[in-house]
Amino acid sequence: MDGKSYVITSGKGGVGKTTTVANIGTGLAKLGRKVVLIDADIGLRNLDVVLGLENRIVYDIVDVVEGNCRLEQALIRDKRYSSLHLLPAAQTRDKTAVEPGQMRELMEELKEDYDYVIVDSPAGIERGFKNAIAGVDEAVVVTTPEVSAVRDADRIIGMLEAEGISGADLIINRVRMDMVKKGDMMNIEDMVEILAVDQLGVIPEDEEIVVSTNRGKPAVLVDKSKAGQAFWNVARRIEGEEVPMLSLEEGFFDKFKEFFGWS
Amino acid sequence: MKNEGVVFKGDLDGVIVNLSDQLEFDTVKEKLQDKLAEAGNFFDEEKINIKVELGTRELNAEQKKELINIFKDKPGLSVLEFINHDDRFSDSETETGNDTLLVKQTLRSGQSISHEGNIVIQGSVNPGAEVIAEGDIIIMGKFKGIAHAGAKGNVEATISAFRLEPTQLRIAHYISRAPDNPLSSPEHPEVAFIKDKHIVIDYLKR
Repeated sequence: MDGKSYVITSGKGGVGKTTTVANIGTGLAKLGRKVVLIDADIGLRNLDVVLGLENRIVYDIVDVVEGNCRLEQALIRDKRYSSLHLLPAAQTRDKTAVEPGQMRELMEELKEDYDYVIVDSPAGIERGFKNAIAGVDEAVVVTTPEVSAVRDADRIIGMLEAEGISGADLIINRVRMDMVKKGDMMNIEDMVEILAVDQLGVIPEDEEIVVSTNRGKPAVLVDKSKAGQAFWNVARRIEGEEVPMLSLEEGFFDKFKEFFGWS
Repeated sequence: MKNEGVVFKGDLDGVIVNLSDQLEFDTVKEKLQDKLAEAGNFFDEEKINIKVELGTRELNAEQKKELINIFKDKPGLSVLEFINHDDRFSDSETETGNDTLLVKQTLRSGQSISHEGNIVIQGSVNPGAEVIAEGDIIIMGKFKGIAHAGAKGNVEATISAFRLEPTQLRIAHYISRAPDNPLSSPEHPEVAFIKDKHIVIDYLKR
C-alpha cells in the first residue's frame, strides 16, 4: 500500500487542529479507509483524549523513536473503527525528544501500511512544527475567522512552501453564518483570497463539539452535529468526492426553511 | 554574570561545574563547550575530578553521555558524579536512599516521578501525570493519572489512594485501564493489588 500523508496545522493555538484531525480521521475510517493519526504535540498531547483513548496508552511515539518498543506496540486501535489507529505523543517529554529525520522515517514506514497518515501538529513554528511537517505529502491549514488566526495561517503557509509543501488546503473552523451575514465576522471569500489556497471545508461553530470532545466521541459520528456534518464532507472531499461547501448548503437550507415557515 | 548558565568552582576534591537548570539542555551544552574552549590548555596538565551540579534538571542516559564526552575532550578531566538538588522532593531516609520518597505536591499532567523504593504523595495525581515505584505507591489525595508499582517486577506491590480514579494502573508486568464509561468511584480510600494474575481494587481497610 502506498498511502498519503497529511499534516494538520495552523500556527495559532486553539483553532481546532486536534478536533479536525480526530474528525477527519474518524470520517475516513468510516469511509472504509485505513488511517493512522499521529499526535506530534509531545508534552501537551490531546488527541488521545479527544478520541477517548487516553486510558489505553502504554507506549508512545518517543518510545518508538528511542527503540523502547516496536511501532505496532505503540499503535492504539480506535474503539469504534478497527481501521483507525492512533500513535500517541509522550506527555512527560518535550518536542526535542524526536527529530525531523526520525519522523520522516516513521512516516515512510506507516505509509506502507495505511491509506492515510495524518499528523496533528502542535501550535507554533518551532521544533514541534518542524517535526510535524517532516515527510508529509500535503498540508491542511486550519484557521478561524479572526484576523490573528488568518495572519498566523498565512505565515504557516509560507513556511510550508519554504519546506517544499505547496498547495496547502484550508479549513475555516468555527464560522458563525449569522455573524458573517451581518458583516460582523470575516467573510470566507476574503480569507480564501488573502491566503490564496484551496478551500477544503467550512466548519460552523457548534456547541456539539464541546460535548463530543469531552465525551471522547468525534462529532462526525453525531448525526445532529452541524460541525460533524461539515467534517464528514471534508473527509469525502479528501477521498475525491465532489461535495458542495457548507456555506452554500446552509444558504439553500435557510431558504428552504423560510419557504416552509420554520426558523 | 550570574545568569551565564555555566559556572566553574573549585573545592578541595576538584572542580564543581554548575549547570543552570533554567536553560535548555542544548544551550547549556554549548555554553559548557565554549567555556572549556576558553580555558584553553588550563585543564590539560593534571588529573582533575569534576562534579557536575545539575540543580533540578534531570538528565537521561544519552544526555549524560553527551556531557561526559564534552569533558573527555580535555585529557586531564574526568567526571566523578552528577548531583541533583531537587528541593521539591525530599527523601525521608536519605541514608538508605531507596526506601520511601515523600512528595509534598500535586503532580500535574506531564510530571513524572520515579523512585527505587516506595512513593508517598501528599497531594493529588492529575490525568497525564505518572508515578513509577519499584515498591508501593500511596497517594493521599485523588489519583487520576498513571501509576506503576513494583516496576521491577514485584507482584506484591500495591497502589492505594484516598480516591482511586486512575487512567491506568500497572503493577509489575500487569496493566489495567479505566473503563470507558467512568464509574463514579466510592467516597472511600481504595487499594489496587494483584490477585489471580489480575489487578483488582478493594476498599482500603486494615
